[in-house]
Amino acid sequence: MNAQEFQAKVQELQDSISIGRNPEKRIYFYGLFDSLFVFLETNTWGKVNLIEQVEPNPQAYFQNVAEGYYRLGFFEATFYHFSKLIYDLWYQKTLEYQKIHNERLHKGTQVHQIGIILDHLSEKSLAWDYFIAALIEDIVTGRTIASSQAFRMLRVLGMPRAELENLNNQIKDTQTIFDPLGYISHLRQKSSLSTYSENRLVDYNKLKQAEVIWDKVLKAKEGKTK
Amino acid sequence: MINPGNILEDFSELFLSSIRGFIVRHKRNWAMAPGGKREHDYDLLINNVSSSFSEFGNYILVECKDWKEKVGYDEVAKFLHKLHSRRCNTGIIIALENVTHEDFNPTIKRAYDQDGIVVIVLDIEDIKDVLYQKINLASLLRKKYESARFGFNS
Repeated sequence: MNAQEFQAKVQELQDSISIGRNPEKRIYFYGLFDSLFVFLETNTWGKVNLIEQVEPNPQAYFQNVAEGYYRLGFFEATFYHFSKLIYDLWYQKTLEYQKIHNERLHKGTQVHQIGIILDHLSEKSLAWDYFIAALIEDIVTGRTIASSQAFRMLRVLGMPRAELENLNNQIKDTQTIFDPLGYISHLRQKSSLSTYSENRLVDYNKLKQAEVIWDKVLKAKEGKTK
Repeated sequence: MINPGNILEDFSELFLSSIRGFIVRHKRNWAMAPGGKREHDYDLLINNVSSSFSEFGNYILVECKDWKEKVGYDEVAKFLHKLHSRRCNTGIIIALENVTHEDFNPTIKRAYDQDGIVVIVLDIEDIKDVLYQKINLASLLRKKYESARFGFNS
């Protein structure tokens, strides 16, 4: 597939929302996936293709292909897997670019969208880490956590606000983070950053009840100290 | 009337049972010491049915110390003896002022090497961080467990 053909196919995919309900067309996009993937995988990409484009940009190939398959996922969940594969590849290509040029690029879209897809596919544990990675990207870019989409997603999945603020404090003073997923592993080694399953293990209502008695514990302690 | 000595135990019961699968089976046990004297045994007995904490063992003993000073080696050693005699793999000491040299406490370090027993210490700062939801209790317990068992400090 040459660049021209690729662009034409991507355009078709961009229009896929109107044809998603057509099973025959869905089969067509099934078949098309591999050649689009190979094209993206085997080319060397410049910055223009690797960063998120706010305005529609026909050259934002990764974004266009991943979004196209994501939209097809509304009709058939298998397409979510295809979309995730493209976001994964986009993330890896961005890491490669960063390594070669020693320049950090924003990867929030890739990791956030992978989180969204994993959430749709009921892979909450994995989605949790991808949303933390997206939050790291937002904080590193200077965004406040309250304005971060990842912050909201993590709240929805049950991470307490105070833990998120604690995470924000740990990250904002850190020097440039090139790989947010790798950084999560580092955070787990040096602090008690929770996993999704650990968070699910705690009954926060019981902790709230305990907090009432805790005040009495502190008062009794004060009495002893006096 | 509230018995001040029991407040920390009442708190610890609710605090630790906030972990799904930690069921408090018994509270404030007493044992008979030589001479027929009643002696404090343990404060809480937790039945651990959580598969996520299977390495903690089926039963966890908890000791609560609301002392105004650090808990010394002798108390830790006594607690280890109780764990050992009950065949418990894990014990938790809730000590508001911590224990003497938590990070390098040789009694705690040796307990795992010699008997495969892990002692987790939770102090006032740990409890505050959990209650104010800065850190997750399950993550904290795991971190402390790994630290005691594998000997690294966070």
